[in-house]
Amino acid sequence: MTSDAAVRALTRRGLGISLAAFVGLAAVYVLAIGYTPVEARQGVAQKIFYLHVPAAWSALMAFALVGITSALYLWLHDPRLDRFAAASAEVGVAFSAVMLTTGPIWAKPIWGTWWTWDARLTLTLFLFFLFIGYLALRASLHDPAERARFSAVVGILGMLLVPFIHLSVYLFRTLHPQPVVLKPSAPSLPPEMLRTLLVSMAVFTLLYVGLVTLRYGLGMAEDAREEATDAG
Amino acid sequence: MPAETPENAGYMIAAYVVAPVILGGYLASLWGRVKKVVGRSDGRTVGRSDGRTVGGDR
Repeated sequence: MTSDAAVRALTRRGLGISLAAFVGLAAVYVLAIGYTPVEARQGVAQKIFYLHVPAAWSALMAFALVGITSALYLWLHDPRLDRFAAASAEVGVAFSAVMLTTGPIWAKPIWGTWWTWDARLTLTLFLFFLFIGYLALRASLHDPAERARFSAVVGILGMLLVPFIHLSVYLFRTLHPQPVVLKPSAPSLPPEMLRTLLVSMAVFTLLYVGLVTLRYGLGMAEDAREEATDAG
Repeated sequence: MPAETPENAGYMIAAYVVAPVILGGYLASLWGRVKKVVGRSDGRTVGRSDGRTVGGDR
């Protein structure tokens, strides 16, 4: 039986970590606006990079972890793995929403268009819809074992898209720039820009941890409520 | 002669507003759902002994 106190402690911890990450995000804004230089060709709009790339990093990490924990669930049948996958998927969708809104806002002044149907952007949008479907599937199934099994398969299929999205800029002709940090050679960024980017990625990762902790606690409470309903 | 740096700060401001609105909105919604399911500190619990439960929908 899930302890009410454990749920409360976990959700409060998640809220605390998330709020700390928002303070960190404010520091990222100060660094990005006040410390990093303005890119000569793109102008100030290039500073969207410090939000867009970490949001993409967090979203893809979230979806990769959904796939890994889903595969582990199918092997071990531990409901905690399914609960984590559900939490990571929902948080990943939130980060994807940031990625898919900051991307077009950056694209408009640089590419001259809000959106283009090239491989990177189209695959990313497809991944977003796939995990919306994952969450809809979870909401539509009542039996916990069936819900966990079916959604684990979708979660694994979603994870398979993640490396394709990362490599799509090499595999296809695309407007989207190639990676500047996560690539075989050294990062191709001035030190000030790289430092700000790394700080922002750390902050977004912390926010991921906080939101997943909070969502996991909510999942514990929902499971306990469901058990109580079924028992009654 | 180098090209002039474009004036496009409005796009950066838009992105810097949108991102915390989405993430903060999600955090607020999550916390609201937690409060709904767990119940506030008024003695309600996650699963009640009579099998009935406190608010919230999955």
